Amino acid sequence: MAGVGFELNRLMEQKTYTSLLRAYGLAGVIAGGPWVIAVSSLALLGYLLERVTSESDVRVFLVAISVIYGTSLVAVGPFQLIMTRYTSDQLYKKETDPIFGCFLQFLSWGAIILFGLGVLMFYFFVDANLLFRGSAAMLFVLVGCIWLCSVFLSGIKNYRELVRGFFIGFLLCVLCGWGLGYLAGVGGAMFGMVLGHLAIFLHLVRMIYLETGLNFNARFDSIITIGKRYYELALCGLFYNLGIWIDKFLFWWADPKSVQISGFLFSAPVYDPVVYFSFLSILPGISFFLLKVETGLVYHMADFVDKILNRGSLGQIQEAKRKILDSLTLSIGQLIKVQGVVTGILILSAGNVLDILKLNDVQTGVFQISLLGAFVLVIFMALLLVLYYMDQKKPAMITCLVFMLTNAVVTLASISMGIQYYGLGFLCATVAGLLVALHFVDKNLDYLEIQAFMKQPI
Amino acid sequence: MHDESSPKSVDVCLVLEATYPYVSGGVSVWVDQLIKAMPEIQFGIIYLGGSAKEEREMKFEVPSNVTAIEEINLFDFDTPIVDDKVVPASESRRSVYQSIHDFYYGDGPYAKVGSFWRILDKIVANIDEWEHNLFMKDLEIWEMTEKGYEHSGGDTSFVDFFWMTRTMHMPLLNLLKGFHRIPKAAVYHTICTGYAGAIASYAAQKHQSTLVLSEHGIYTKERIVEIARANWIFDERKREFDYDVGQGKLKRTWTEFFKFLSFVTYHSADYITTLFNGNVRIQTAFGADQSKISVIPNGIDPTRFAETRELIHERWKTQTRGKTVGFIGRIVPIKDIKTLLRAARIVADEIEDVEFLLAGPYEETPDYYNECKEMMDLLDLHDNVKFLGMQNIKDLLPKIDCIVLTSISEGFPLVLLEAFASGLPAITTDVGACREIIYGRTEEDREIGPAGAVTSIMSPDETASAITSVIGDVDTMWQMGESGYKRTEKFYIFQDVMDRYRALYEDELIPEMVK
Repeated sequence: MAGVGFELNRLMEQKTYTSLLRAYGLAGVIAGGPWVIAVSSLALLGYLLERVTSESDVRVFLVAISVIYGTSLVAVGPFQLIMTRYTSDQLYKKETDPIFGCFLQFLSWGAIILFGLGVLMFYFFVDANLLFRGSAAMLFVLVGCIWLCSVFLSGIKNYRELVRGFFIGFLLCVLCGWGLGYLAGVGGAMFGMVLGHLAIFLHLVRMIYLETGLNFNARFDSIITIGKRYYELALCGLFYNLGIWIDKFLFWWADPKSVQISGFLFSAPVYDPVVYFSFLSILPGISFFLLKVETGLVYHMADFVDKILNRGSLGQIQEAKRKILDSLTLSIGQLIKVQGVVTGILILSAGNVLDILKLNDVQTGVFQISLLGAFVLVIFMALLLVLYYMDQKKPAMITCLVFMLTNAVVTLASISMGIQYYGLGFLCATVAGLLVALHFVDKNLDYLEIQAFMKQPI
Repeated sequence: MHDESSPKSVDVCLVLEATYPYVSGGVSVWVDQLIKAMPEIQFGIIYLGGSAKEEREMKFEVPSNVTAIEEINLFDFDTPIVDDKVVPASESRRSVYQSIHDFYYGDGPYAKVGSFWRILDKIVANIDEWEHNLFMKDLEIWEMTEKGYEHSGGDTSFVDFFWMTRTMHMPLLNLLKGFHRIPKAAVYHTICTGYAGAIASYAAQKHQSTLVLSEHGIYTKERIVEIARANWIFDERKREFDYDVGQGKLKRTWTEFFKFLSFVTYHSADYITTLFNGNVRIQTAFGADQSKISVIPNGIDPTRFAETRELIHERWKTQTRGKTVGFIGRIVPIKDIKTLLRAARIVADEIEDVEFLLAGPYEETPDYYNECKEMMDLLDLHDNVKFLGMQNIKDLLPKIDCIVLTSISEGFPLVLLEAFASGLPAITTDVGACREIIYGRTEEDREIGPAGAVTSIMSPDETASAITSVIGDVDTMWQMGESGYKRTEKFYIFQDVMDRYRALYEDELIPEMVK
């Protein structure tokens, strides 16, 4: 679903620097999605809350929010990819009627699971007042649902409306959080977040509804059937999201140097800020990815399929295949350049950046390692996407598994090796994932037309 | 491994493609007669069908001397979707693929037959390994497809070429997978070339049996016509042009494929028979050795129609001219009923009380039947034309003065012999065996005199004037009818015809004109 990428490319065709910048800016906002605005508005809210309540309460609040964001993503990870795949298949078959209904099905099941997990984690394992715990559990459900909606983000063509909704939603988060925090402490602030996220969620559902339309009579497969069909993709989603977060989890729950905030909520002051900031640093890369890599891939894959179906000669088909490869090499090369410059500058000036951000606990080396890890992640994502587009479900699953396991193993090792090695887990994981993905992409590109033909059912 | 002893042994194994006992038609009737005429011979039947999913209903009561019936479906493929990668095949399959490669790029047709047998031998020896989904797995199949494509010029639609190679070869695999079910027989008798001919040839070769090929229509020719007309085979020239100049590359490849299967059969057959002289030329052109070919026409028992003949003669004694023209056959486009109706209009303008009785089923193509009825209205033929539907031929013939066929294609229409046995003259278009039946096939035969007239196809004028001249005078009718009767008695006696097939089964050729 590269709809928005194509839409933004159209914007870029105006060929002025402002439109170019605006396209990249918008792509950044869309690609970063909840993540960017969330991090920045959260920083703002934290700053404001410190003025109305105690510093330790604010810390509980902020840690709870980051745990909510991380764990909810892992929880809905298995749903995200199969939902993406189901929707693309329907779009390809030009049977769009069941999409929204099926989306609601996923959303309902997701909400039920999220509710169970949310209550379990935040009601029973957090030491705070009822308002805080109840709100946290609700926020967990809402954020998870927003993750599910975010699958459709890149497919929504009305990106202005989309971005406006995000902006207003997070503004609500800040204002309600601040106001209710003033009235009822962090519990109130948490409830304020719930209100803001509810707004974002409803806005997203409305946007998706407007994009897909609703047909109550359309029949769709049950979640079990779809899940069975694409179980490898479900595992991809689980492994990938777990791979993104498992180093953080380990630093919270397995590192004796982490700080218990409340119940199962821990914080790792030497690592957490690094991670959040290094993720922000790859926004240019993700924007570029959305604008150039994915659209280019979709365009050339479609051309390849078109050459087959419209009775091209084998020469034309193989030429189309070469163009996929060329476009991939070119766009990933550009991706490396764009993100490389940003990451390079940040690595060179890492010490100064930490000073500016007042992150005195963090080691410069750890920050540099994390920046590098995030950089490799962008390229890894691009190659993983190629595997998805080639319908290489099993290789993609293996890749994600390698990514996740490497992160877990090396992170555990780095914890015992000492603070200067922190972040190495994530870096090694992205590099390992990248290499495995590269291997599969390389192998499959050679065989692309052979697979495309020979696998046609008889 | 398959149990080699399981297939039954029979005297004669008939290899039938889409005909007896499940499909009705001229060939099926002939097979039915053949089996019933030789109760002392044990027959086995291999029926080649398209798919087990087709509705398959016995159209004949199979006699007790048929002791084995096996069905092989050419287009049923058991192919669970495989997720496996396309990889090089096993050692044994690789050697087969190498042989197939050599077969395609090797020598001329005679050497090809030898390598063809070697390929089949290798596959049958390891048949358990040959699953249909190898077509989705074996890299060599891809490589050969690619090479074949480059070889054909590499510029036509590849997706169509790819599917063509699959569609061509997979039925052959089905034949080989069913091979162990083919009964052992002293004689394999195939009624066409193509897939049936190829597997019959292989069976005869394997068991060192006699191979008899009896062609009614010429399979290769029919396939070529069908391919030329086919819309489902992509023709690259139609991308730009509306008209058809020769055949596109894919169509040529298909044609070559069927030509080879036919060549294999012609080459392997010990005896080739056909119904009339005209076919002999075509068979020879497709590679049959003329010395193997003998003409064995259809036959009839004229005593069955003795009473009919008497009734007709009684009636004719009271007439000076005829007035009832009969058509007996299915109401379908290939019989070109519309030309018959146009001719009827012309005849009716001259002979006011002329009557055309059209007997035969019309359920096969109801649209065509309706068109014919509309045409009848349009030509104002209500008083002169009657569509009777199915009729008992012995009730119908006594009312008729002359039989007419305006078909654009025929093999050996049995209705002509039935007319002759009843002493009726016949007028037919110049298709299939018709000219030989009306005027005589050999010198001796021609001396008997014409039993009617032959006209051009789609020519209402010619048909009409032939009708007018034949039925215009009772003496002409009588004389022509008697010529037909004599011809039948001399050359088309059912028992004689069957004796000649029986002789082939006993591996001796009764020379023609022995009687």
